[in-house]
Amino acid sequence: MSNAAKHEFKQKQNTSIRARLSHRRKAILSTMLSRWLDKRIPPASQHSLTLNSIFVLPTGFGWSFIIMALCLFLLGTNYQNNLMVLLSYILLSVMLLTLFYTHQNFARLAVKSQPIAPFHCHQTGTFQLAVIKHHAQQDKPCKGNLVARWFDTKEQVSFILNAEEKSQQRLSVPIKRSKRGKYPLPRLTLACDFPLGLFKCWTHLDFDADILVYPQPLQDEAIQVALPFDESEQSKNDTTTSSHSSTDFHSLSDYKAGEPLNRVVWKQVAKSGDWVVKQFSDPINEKYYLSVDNQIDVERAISILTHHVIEQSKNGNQFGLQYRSIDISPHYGDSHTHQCLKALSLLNLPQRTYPNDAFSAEAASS
Amino acid sequence: MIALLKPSALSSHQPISYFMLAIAYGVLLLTLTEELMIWVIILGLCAIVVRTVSFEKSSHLPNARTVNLLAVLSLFALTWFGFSIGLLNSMINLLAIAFALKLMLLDSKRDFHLLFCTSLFLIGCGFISALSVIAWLGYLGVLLFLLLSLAYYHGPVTPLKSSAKFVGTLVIQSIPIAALLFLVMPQLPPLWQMPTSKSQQTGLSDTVTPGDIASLAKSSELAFTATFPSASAVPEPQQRYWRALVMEDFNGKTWSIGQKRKQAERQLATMRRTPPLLLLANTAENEESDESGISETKSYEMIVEPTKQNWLFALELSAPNNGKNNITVNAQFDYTLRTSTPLMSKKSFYFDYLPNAPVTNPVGEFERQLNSLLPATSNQETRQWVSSLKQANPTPRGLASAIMNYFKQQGFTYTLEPNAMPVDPIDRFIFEEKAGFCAHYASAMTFALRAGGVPARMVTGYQGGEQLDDNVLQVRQYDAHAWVEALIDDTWVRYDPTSMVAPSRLQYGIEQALAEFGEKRTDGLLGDLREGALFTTLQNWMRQMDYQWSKWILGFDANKQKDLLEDLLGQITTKKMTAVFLATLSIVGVILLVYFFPIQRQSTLPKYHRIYLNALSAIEKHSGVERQYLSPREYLNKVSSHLNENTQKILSEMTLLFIESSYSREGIGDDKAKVTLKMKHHNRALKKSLRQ
Repeated sequence: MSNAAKHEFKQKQNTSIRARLSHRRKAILSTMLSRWLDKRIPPASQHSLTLNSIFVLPTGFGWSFIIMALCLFLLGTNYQNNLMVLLSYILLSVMLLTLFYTHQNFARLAVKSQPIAPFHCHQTGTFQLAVIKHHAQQDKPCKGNLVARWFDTKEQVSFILNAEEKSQQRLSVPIKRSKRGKYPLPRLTLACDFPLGLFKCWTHLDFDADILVYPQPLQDEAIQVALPFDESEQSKNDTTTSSHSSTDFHSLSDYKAGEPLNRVVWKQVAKSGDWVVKQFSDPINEKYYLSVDNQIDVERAISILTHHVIEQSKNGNQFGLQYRSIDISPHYGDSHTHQCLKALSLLNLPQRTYPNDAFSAEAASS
Repeated sequence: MIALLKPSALSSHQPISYFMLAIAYGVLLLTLTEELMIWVIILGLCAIVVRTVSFEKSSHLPNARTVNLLAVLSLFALTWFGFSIGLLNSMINLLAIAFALKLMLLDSKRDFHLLFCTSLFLIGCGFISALSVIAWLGYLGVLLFLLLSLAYYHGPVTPLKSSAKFVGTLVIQSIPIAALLFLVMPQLPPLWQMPTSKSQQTGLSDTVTPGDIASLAKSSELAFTATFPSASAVPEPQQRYWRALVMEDFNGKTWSIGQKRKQAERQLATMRRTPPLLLLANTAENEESDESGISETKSYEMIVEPTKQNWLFALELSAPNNGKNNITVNAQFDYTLRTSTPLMSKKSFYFDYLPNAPVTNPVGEFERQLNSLLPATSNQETRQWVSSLKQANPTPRGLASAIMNYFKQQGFTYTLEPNAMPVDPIDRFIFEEKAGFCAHYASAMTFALRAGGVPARMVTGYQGGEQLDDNVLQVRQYDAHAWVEALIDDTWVRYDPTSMVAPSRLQYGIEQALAEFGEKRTDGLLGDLREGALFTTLQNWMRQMDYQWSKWILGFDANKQKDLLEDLLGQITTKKMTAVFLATLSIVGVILLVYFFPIQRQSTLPKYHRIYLNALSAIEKHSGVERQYLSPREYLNKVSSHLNENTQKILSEMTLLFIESSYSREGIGDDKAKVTLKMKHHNRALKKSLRQ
């Protein structure tokens, strides 16, 4: 190797090391920040904002307001005009007082997270937040325009807090993920600049919740998915009741979400308001396992399976799932569908070192 | 019931806030008529109309291209007119134009904030020309309105009424803090020279054509207010000559300062020679310390109305006390005074009065030569008359008194409205018209003296002054005056030819002097109205208020600040100043504390309820189990396991009593006192049991 080549190689190595170092430093900083935030605003499903959890700084407008007041002071001094000087003092005092008013208003905010429904990746999920009464500020609510943003993204949504409304207010914040899996819910940044827009109060809230992101469904007719139901399995399952086919009536049972509506006993519903469904004891011939060849790329296979799970569930069919380590026996209903989708979304996930990693990776990819 | 909030795009209060901003802008435009050009005001009003018409629909607004075109046109117009109105006014006009154009395009939060800041600055510009209490209150109102529009914009569902209440409270709360800052923050001298406007110079001008001062006499605007330490320190009416400018150059019609004098002053300043006025002041000071106690100098304070000029007037003669002045006052070699920056606002100036000091000739031959020059050919008749006078009275003093006597004896009259004298004005005045105002007399006498070989010059300024209080003199524009100085034995001697014609001018002022010649300074109904008793009282009252305002707010400066602090704290030391700043900070802190953490109001709960809550808090503290939102009974069940038997028993009794009294259908009525007593008893027992 010539000297020049050696030198070049060394340089390359250096730059790569530097890049890695800067990446590492960023990662360390973000962990430190998250640790500090965890200590300062500990995770909880419900937050009443206090002195500790609020950050406050002048907005851009606030800074220009201060600069304007200083300009007036200079103008007043140079023209020896005390009225201008007095005006600038009044503006500065207004600024000072607004700091307290902005903080006081924001410290009246209390929010409670609602359970978050799973969603498919590349689709928009909704995180719902209820505005509740602050335990220390019962009589006065937080007012103004509330801006919500996830800690790791730039997009923001704003809501008008309406104190006059009698009902409980709920904010729904969209959330997106581009990879399946289970994530801790990132911190939600809430900000408000009421009453004059001179200061911005904000907080980063951790609602101590996880989000489950289902795989993206993919339709691909070319790939065989249905696997005929195993006879021996069937004999085992023979005694179990099923509501699928419609030959012999077996019994009535409580309605579970996701069961086909044609089996609901509407008379009963009308009479007593109880939702009951007819159960039949006939063995079901449309029962099958969903499965794909192990040769196919894992992510692709998972997406195809997801598509079929959704289809089967929509049709009200009984189905099971068999793929790699997943083995779920045939059943029906929403909880079953959820179980299947959850299994698919958690399959073969790479190990994560710390929670923020997934987000930073995602942020980088998006 | 649950209201699901949809993300909001725009606040519904936007159009109204924009409209309010436009109104505030309109008010500002109409108050800035002195600075703004007519077409700028019209452009601004058009923008307001456009904004109002498109109140509901923004589609009516002109598009960006139209506005850009307008901007280019306005910029051209502004550069065209800019040279004639001066830099300062150009800037204000530019600001107003930019506001108008942006107002038409206003569609975002950013723009709104930008316009808000601009209007704050426009308010500041308003204070350049409007300095009265009323202007201050008016602009404070505009500020309130602007803040209201801002609050309304940022409170998307807050009703206007509560926004108004909030803004009112905010401004009222901010005033004490601002006042404190005003009192304590250092009053700085001007940091750098600012541009001034050309068009608005008021009062005396630096050239005099006889007749100019007569037009000034129609104005009763205030020129300055002088405050003396005591009533006895106020000079006699005849001595109240307020010297402003010395005119040494005559072109046959107009008197002016002259280029040579200006050059000479500049040269002397670069040579760092001390002007005679300051030498005088120094010797006076030394004498004072020598004779200990008997002082020849009397210090006084002047609040000068903004003239937008550099020159300053003071009693003849006065030395500036620059140790106290916020704006440095320079003395010149002709005993006039110049400020380092033009007077743009009312400020206090401090002087030492040197009543009997002579005006000497400090620069030798130069002044003698300068003040002997005459235009070559004009006014021949006067020259002949003077040469004949000179033969009879060869001494300079004799000549001067002969001229004075001539005015006295030849039936001259004092009038505000003399006939125009375009050709050989001095000849015509002395021999034909024999009627004129002070500048005519001064001009004629100076000319005559120079023609007779006596160096002479015209001095302009004010003469007289009305007493507002025992020790306060107010001088108005109609007190403007002109007189003569003749160089006799190397000393400039004052001659006032007007006093020969109208002796009461010095003693009683211009109105009296004119009345003696059957004239009135102002005519018409308003003049008659002025003489009414009610009007006089009202006017006096207004003048007093204006004086106090000028003295304490506008004229508040480092010197008054120091006096005030010394009154409060005695001798000022660095240590004390630090303490003052710390005290200010803590006072601001206390004010904020009072605003935001008000003292807990007397609870409206009945007494037994309060005792019950007190007991619960003791229990919470003891057991560490918090009540949160539990009902009394639930809490009792929860906490019981943490308490000893006795406490449990007492608490359950208390809870029962509380529930009975609070929720019983009949209410407790007369038993209230009994219940309270019982509760108190239980509480005491509970505390005792907790302590064990």
